[in-house]
Amino acid sequence: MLLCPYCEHENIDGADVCDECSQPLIAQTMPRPATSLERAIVKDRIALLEPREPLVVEPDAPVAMVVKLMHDHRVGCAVVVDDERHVLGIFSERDALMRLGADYPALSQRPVSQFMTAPAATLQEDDKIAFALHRMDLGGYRHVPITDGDRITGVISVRDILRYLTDRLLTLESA
Amino acid sequence: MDFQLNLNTESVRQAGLKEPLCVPPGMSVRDVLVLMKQHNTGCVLICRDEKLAGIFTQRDVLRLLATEADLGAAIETVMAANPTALHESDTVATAIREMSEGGYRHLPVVDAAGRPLGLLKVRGIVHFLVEHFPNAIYNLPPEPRLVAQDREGA
Repeated sequence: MLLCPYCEHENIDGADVCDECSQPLIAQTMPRPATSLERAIVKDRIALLEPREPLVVEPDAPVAMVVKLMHDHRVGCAVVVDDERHVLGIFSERDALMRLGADYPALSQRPVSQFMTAPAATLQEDDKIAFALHRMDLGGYRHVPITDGDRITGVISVRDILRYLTDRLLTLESA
Repeated sequence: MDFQLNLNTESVRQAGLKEPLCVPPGMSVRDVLVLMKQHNTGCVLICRDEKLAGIFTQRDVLRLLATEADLGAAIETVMAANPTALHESDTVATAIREMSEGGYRHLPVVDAAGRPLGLLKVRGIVHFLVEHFPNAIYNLPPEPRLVAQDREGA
């Protein structure tokens, strides 16, 4: 059985193209996940990481308020959303350092939308954990907002991934 | 199984140590912030007599900004003193455990005398993992939900 990575249709082994969506499957027939952990990250979904309730702020909130909220909630990022909870961007500790830094006192009353990273790379709860790992590696992100459709529902951090991997290593070891 | 073996045998060097940015304890917070921006790094090590004395990261920056701390103060007054550090002989598994449990995203690696050799970033760990799952990760489609609406030509 060969699972199409594009539409998840189950094809017979050795199929060249997916029966359902006609995408080529040649790359899938060749390499196989080598280890049980590698299999786990393409099987497990992001929902398993239990994305945390995100700290959401409006784009015209003063950046000083956002920094304060992040500090009080002990989180590393705030998700900037519009009235309907669509993700506009993300403001992280990194942005606080790189875009504010020593100039903070002069800039602190400006709106957060001037300093956020936009557009933010988002994923959905039923995406594979492998995607989250790939996004974080490529972009160097430590936080990925999770959306349902295009509305924000949660946020995962690289720490959730590390926790997942260490848990998974332990269970695989004892299995 | 074989991956577990890897994690427990590969030393932290394999996860890509970065050259750390070291500053003296007396430097002002403002100068450190400017330096971090210039070097595009989220973490500096504070060294006294070439030995690791403290660490200052972007998490501390957020705290300082939120509490409107005096940016003219010396960095040693706001750094985390005597930080958790790794030795060169520690394994990647140890590093992941330390980061996961302590919530650290930067771990200094020191030699026997306490001199910093390098800095292990969580990004290095992520990249190490990705390189160890080439089949799973590099074969992903570019977007998670790229599905053709219809069969081609239909």
